[in-house]
Amino acid sequence: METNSETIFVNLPTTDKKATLVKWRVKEGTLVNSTVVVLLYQEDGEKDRKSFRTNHIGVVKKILIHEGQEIPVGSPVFELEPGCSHSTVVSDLCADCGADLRIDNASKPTASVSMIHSVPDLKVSEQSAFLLGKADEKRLLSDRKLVLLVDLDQTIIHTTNDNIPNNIKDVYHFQLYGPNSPWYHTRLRPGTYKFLSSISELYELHICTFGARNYAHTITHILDPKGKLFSHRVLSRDECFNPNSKTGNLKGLFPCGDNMVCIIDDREDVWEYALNLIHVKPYHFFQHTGDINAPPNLQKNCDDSSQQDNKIDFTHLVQGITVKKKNKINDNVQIEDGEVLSDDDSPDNEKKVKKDVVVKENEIDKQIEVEEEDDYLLYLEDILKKLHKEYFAEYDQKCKLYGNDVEVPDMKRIIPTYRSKILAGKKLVFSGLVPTPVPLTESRAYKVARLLGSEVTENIEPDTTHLVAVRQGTLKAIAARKRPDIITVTPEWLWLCAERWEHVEEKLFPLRSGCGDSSNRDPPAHCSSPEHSPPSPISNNLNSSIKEQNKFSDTLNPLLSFTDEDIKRMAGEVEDMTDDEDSCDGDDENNADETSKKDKDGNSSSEESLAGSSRGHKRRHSSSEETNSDPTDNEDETLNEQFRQGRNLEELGLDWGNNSENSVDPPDELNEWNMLGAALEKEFLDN
Amino acid sequence: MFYHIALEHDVLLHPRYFGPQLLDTVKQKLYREVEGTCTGKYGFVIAVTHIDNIGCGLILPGQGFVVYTVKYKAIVFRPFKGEVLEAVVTQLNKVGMFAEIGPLSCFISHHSIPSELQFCPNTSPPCYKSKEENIAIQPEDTIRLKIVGTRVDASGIFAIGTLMDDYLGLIH
Repeated sequence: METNSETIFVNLPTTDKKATLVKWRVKEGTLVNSTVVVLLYQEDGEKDRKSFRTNHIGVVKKILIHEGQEIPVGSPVFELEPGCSHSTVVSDLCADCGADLRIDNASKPTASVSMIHSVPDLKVSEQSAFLLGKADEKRLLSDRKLVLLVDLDQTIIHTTNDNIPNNIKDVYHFQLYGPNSPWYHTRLRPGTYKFLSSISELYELHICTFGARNYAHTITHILDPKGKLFSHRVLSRDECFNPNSKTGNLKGLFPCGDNMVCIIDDREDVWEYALNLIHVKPYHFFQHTGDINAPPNLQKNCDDSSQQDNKIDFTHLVQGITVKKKNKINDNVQIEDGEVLSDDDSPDNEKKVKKDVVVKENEIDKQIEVEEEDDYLLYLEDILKKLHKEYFAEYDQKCKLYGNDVEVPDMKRIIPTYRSKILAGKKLVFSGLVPTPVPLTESRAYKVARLLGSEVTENIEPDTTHLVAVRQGTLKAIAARKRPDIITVTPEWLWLCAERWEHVEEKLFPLRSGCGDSSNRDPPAHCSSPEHSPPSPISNNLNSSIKEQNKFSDTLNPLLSFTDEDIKRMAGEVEDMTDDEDSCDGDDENNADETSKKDKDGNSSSEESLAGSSRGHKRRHSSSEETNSDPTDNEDETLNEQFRQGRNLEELGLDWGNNSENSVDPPDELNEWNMLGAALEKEFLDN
Repeated sequence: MFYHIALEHDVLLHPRYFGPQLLDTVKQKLYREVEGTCTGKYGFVIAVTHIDNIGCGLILPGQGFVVYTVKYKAIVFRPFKGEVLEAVVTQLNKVGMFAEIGPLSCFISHHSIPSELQFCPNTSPPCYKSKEENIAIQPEDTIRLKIVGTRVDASGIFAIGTLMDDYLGLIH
């Protein structure tokens, strides 16, 4: 292999005859090696064309003689820049020249970006990744498509390892690791096929899951047996760089930036709360099973001891009895079915989302049909279609203004902007929704409302449009009744708006007497996301977006952009740390104590000790001053997780109905309030 | 390239197999343990053709297991740089294509695919197609390729191929 960087002038093999150049088989910039036919030529007086190859490896820099021209004896035909940049590398083999990069230390590979979902070993250089990414972007724009990253577990499917009968309709059963391995049972969310096929016309679909590779590909095959929707665009846990986050791979898959990427997932933390994420309502079908593929550190054990009766317990079904079960989600959380919510106050819980289980006993091969009214995907489809429209409307406008060669609009801006238009211009007032000690701007309800673009004020103002009240009879509710221009709704209205991303008809959520206790004051986990930075104003300034992009490419797999010195220094740091191990050990012990104390403090049960330790681990990294940081944060996390596993909030000790003992307020303040309340109560009783 | 060579393998047998079928068991175990494996030196063992000699069994002291050193002949497949082979395409993407030559998997970079073939991600399944559309390489197609490099590990071989030579490419 040539290593000197001087240009080589390449001649034809020495002959005495003149020759004519018939055809070039390569262009300037093409990599050639001994296998590549560079050009065809014909020697004077001979009929046969001869093909010419060079023994050098390198890039054709300049073509000196054009097709049809004569090649004088001894004169060069092209300039060659020797050396292969090893821009495509598979398991340390250069895919361009075949050189073994483990042996060949002289030339360092430039390849660092793994662009193919299923083969992380295959890496290309940043430069060619950028070119490939640009080509992708161009293709997507010409097809008027965007990219959609689809999560599997609890987003479009639900899988369990539990024993369930094998005759439930629409449940797929499979084993992944040979005949004696555990069985997996997968249920697709209702409407998944339709959702995927109609959305694939507007989006290029990619799967991003924390399931193992085998699992991901099996599910993909179920979803897409012909490979039309996902093709090979499946990213599984085996290919993830970071076990707790999916964002790491994004930079490799989309080297030109994630401006056209939209994500649907049931959890935000694995995407580091990306702005282009649509947080979907978790899909939950099998009892006692959460996300079986949750990242190890973020996983929580499902609490099997608390039996719930609002799920289908499949053990009943084996006996072939017709079973009717209560709605999947407790009505406190339930906000998914607008059309039936008008009879919210009716005591009959079974009216809402019903799972009718009918066992057809006549058939020999019994099939249990489970109907569920999870129609979330319809709304999700709607959201995605609207976002697509929004995106290309902006792109077309930009094209009109600046010509076809513009920076593409950024999904990370379009999504928050779109969301903030849903309730734009509305002015909300909350009543009974935010506990008194919590400042309005800190409450989750406030954040949800702000995300949707509405204004929220403390008290009723002349231009207030909506009152979101938990129960009748509050001062604000009475005041609002006197104002015909103010619509009074229950909090479910707001949560449903946040879930469906649309302005839901208020009439479906009238405030009635007696519904106060059942109203849910806390938004369901999938509706409330932590505060995002406010969407940046739409900038027509091209420079700003370019700057943004540069930033993005800077973050491209940080490990690989370290110089040798950096890495050495880092290694040194590790050594330093191990040197003063003693002090570290002491710290660890302290922290361990702290962790256990925390566990006792919180209302987490013993089953969650696993989770507790992971929390403790996290805390260890934070500075010790933070140890008494507010527990809401902590609580939120558990809550979110438990909600994901299908528990209703009431069970989680979050019933806000009458007392607020278990509420998520900071405990100190709360105790004070409780004590005040108790004193007051005593006074009354005494009287 | 395929070779028919003499090889040796140690078969370790549990005492419960000691009986009239002992040698048959040794043979069965040899087939199971050897066929389909890959060694860096000889490549993939495709099939055992003949068992030359089953040595005298040596009982391991303290365990009771017996070790037979079996000499056998086998067909092995060892890919070499510069070899031209026929392969079945498995996956195509924008960076290149993957193909399988029996047990050997091989990658062909898009730099090593003739420039008249362009990647078309929109077709289903994706393919490499020429502009005139008279040639299209899709998954399951048979191609002829030339190996330009091999990565030989203890447990497997991986190859890099090219289509940039005469008579390489899709086989009709």
